[in-house]
Amino acid sequence: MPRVTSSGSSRGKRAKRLFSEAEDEPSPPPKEVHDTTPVASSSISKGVFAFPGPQRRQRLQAATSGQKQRKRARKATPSAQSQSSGSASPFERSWTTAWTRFQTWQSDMFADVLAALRAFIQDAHPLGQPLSSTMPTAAFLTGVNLPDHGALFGLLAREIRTRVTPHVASLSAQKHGGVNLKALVQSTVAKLMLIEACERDDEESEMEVGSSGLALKKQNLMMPTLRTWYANQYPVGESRVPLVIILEDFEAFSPTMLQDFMISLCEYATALPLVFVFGIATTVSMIHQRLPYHISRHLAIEKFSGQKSTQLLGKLVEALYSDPQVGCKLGGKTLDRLLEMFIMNDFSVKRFLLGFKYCMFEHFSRLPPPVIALCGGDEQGRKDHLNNLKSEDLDQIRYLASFRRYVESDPQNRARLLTNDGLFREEVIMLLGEIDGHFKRFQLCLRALFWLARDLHGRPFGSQIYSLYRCAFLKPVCQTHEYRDVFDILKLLNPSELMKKMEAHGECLIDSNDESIEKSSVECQRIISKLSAFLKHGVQNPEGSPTIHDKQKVTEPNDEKDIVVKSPKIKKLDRFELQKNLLKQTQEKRQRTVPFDDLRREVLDYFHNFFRAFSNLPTSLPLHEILFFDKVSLVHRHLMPAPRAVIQSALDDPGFYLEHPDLLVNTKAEIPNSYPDLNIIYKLHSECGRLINLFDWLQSWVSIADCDDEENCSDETIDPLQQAKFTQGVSSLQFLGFIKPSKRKTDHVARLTWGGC
Amino acid sequence: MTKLKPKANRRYLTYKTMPLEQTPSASHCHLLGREKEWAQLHGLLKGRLPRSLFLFGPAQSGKLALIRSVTRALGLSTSISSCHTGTIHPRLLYQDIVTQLFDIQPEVDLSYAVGKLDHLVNLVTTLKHQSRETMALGRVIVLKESQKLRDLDFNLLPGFLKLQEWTGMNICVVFVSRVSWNKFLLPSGLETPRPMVIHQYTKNQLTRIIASTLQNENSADKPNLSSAFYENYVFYLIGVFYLSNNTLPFLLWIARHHFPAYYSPISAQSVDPDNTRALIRNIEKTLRNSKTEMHIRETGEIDPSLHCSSIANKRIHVELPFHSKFLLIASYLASYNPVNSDKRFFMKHHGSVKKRAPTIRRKEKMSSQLTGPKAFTLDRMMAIFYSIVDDDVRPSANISSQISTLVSLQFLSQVGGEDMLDCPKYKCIIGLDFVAQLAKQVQFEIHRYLVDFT
Repeated sequence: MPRVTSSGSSRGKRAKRLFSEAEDEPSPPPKEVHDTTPVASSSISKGVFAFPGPQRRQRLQAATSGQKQRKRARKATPSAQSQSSGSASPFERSWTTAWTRFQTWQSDMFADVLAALRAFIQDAHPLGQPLSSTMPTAAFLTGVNLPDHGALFGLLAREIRTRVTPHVASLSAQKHGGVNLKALVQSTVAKLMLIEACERDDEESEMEVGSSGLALKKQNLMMPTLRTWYANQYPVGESRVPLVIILEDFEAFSPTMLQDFMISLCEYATALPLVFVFGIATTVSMIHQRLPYHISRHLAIEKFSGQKSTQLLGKLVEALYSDPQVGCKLGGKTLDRLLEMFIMNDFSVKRFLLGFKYCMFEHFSRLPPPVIALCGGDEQGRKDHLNNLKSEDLDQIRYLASFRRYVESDPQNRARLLTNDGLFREEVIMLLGEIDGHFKRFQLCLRALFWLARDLHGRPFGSQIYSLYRCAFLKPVCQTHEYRDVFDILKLLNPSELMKKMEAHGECLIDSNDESIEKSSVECQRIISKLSAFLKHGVQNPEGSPTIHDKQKVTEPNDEKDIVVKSPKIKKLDRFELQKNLLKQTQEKRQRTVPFDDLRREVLDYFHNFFRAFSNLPTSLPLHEILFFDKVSLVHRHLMPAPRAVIQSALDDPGFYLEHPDLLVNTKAEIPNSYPDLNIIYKLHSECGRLINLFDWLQSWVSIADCDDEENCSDETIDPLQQAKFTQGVSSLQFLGFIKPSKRKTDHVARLTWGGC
Repeated sequence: MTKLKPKANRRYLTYKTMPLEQTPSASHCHLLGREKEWAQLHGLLKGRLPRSLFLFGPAQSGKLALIRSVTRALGLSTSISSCHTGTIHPRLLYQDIVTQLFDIQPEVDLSYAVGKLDHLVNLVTTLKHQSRETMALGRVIVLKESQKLRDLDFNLLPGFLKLQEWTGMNICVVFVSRVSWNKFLLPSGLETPRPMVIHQYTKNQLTRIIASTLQNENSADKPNLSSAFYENYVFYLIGVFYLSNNTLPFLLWIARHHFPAYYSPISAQSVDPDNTRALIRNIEKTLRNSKTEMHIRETGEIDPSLHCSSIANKRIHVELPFHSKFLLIASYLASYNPVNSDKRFFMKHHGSVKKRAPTIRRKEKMSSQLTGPKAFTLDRMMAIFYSIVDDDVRPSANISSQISTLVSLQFLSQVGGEDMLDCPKYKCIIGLDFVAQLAKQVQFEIHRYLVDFT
């Protein structure tokens, strides 16, 4: 049962490695994943997969490429029509947009630090001076989001290769660290000498041919060779091209090997212009933990830190929502789950994108085909598409839950909408346009709120915009407590700060060409002018009206106070009266108003109205299913698998697990013959007590599995085939940890699990 | 400046060393502070070479410089190679020796130049063959870091000891090592090499060497400074740093590093060069501050946006995902708390702990902070994790895959290999201050959960 084992737990580092390999080259359309990366499994679940080695893979590829193509051609024919009608194209379009956005931003974000690294490497060995015995080393702090690092170091190597030196050896512990020191040195030297490294191990006979037409045995690819080669290539005094060695994941190299490697390179510090780049996921002190002082004293370390992945994700989330090319938007709960995975587990933007890809895939595959073309695109395109649809296709749109709700709430037009296709088409166009318009306003509102709350004390909505999206998609943002916090803080701001906020807010609104936004923009400008007038006034006479006003107010209670103070002399002290008076005084003090208070109230009211108007959930509108994907249970099942629960549900209910209609049963107690063997054995075992008699178990197994032919059932002897199947099933159960052999009774096994977990 | 009495090198007299026969005048020696050793070595290598020499002394005490200087003075052809090259294949070591010894013009493919040198016997025959005409010429093979020879092929060390015998040449092998000869554990019957001990430089010698080096370097643009000025500076500097690191290259680096700051009041003409006191007071503070980070030759900012209390905290600051933090804390607790204390910390009704005699006695035992982390099973750690993490966390593959991430980040280490699939064991290899910092970020009071602190 391949799918059960596939969601393995923490155990294998290898499993994780393979998973990240599987993600290495995500190519836009899903069907091409098989072609570009034959090594990777296309499974999204983590687990241990067996792959053939490189040689065998090549052979297999050569042999089966013909077959594969034929197979694919056959596969393609039935679905070709649906693909050409638009099933694949919105997915492809959305995914390529998201992926290219991610890549360009990643390179943009790291442009600064890459330029700094480049400059460091360029200046590391100035030409005129003799080489010093300390080797320049860049400690590049990359953060703990390991899956994203591959692309980053690819960028770095490309940058150095094109701008500084062609001699770059990029080493990662996964590829080079597992082998011995010799192989590590050999591959380093080969890369620095620009020799295509030979994968095969039979090194003695192999001759390597470098770019310079040099033929070398692999065993000679060692540091002395590198030294002489460099001296020939770049004679002393003419030019000094640095040799760059990048260790992509410094922590993952085994310490002893790393030390030996560094020692053997230290020998050549004065002969070769070596520059190191250590990719460090944790802290700089890791260098000193891994390398003892007698090695680290040869290194002159300079620190570089890259941008945090949270910034990249913030940009990406905003783009995924605002780009019309992306035809699928994430609903509140789905976004929440994906962000939770990001924040809680790995900080990896790439994983987030792959999760998004999965959601998109589900979205487009679950929508009825005529609807898919309505995702994204402009109004004209939608109109054309709708006009082409037949009545039955339109019915599929009518079946959407949110549309049904909408129709039921509108009793006047109900009959016409359900029967008149022309009217329905117009209605759909109108509703979709409404969603688009509302969503644009919603986004603008969120951006405005983010700008408003960004530099407030305590950052109620976090430092990145995605946390605001997360809040605002779950429930209207005005109802959240973070929103209340923001307004509590806004109340404490002074006029000039509030003015700044208003101006920034006004700039947010300027670009929009939406009618209602323009209305509030005008309102905003009015308040800004009012505020600025107030500020000017305040600046002209700082002890102006507010203080005078205050004095008048303050004098009044003073009079009363006098009365209060005097009164006890006349009559007996009435405690309650005194209390009342004091309370009144404090209230009056509190109520004392300054002109700014009115203005502030006006500003806050404006903000509040603005956010309340536009922060309705877009997922509450009719026909939102077409644009928004919000099936959180699917995300749960496929992206956050629980190892034990998966096995349990697979064994308990194969119909549900394999999504196979033939295996679905009505009652849990029923054990149909058509179940897989292991399921039957598991079900029988769960009916037993603590100790299970193997013979009884076998008997009941035979009675279920063999009940087709009546003769066998009545027969005393058991078919050896059935017995073999049974034995295999029992041993798999033992392997999965459900039973173990018991020493207490012969022919018995003990159960290890109880109840449903 | 007090004159320190140089410790008489009495200790090497306990080794059987040759008495100095003809001491050459110290003027031949260009190594400051090593005149005596230089003369001794010169005497040893003059005339017929000994079979082997064992040069033993602490790291960075000038052993190689000494032997290089002596052999150059005597005109011996010398090869200096590190035994570390032999860890990949002994061939590399042999090739290195032969190319240096006979001054072979290196080619890209060495095997064409020097022939096949895969085994020790190849080295012996090559040496014989190459030097047939100049048999009597003295040659010296210096093996750096020869303690590494113990880990290489078993025949290397005996072979090098007998090299003179086998080749019949006037050849001497000098083993340079940081480890004393009795740690080499040779099979009996081999002649031990003639030992020679190099001691670490005394404070006085260090002062002289560094001061003169600085003077040489700076005499071009600052000619008016006397040697006493440099000596005063270096003497003070050594007083500050000597206890933490007494090697020459380090102190030289420190001296060079701080010299501009020391000199700056003079260049500004606010202080007289003779006023040592004022000059020292000027840099006293920077020196003391640099003492904490002096071994770390790093430049560049870590992250200016971090708000950590101290530089040391900044150095260990790592941005980790939320659950990873709790996993690390849980594994720290599992590593440093004994199993039987788990009930007390993580169960609601654990009952009262009776103070019996054994428990009291056990308390006197060494604390687990001193004995280091213990291995724990994955199940136990996950149980602790689920009990300390606040919100409801489902056991999912994402959580367990973080453990392998933590292993690859070197926060945890797996005990007993990767093949223990059913019950993997780990150790938490992070420090207390790091885990305390993590716990502070997630508002978890770790000290209340550690046996040593409760």
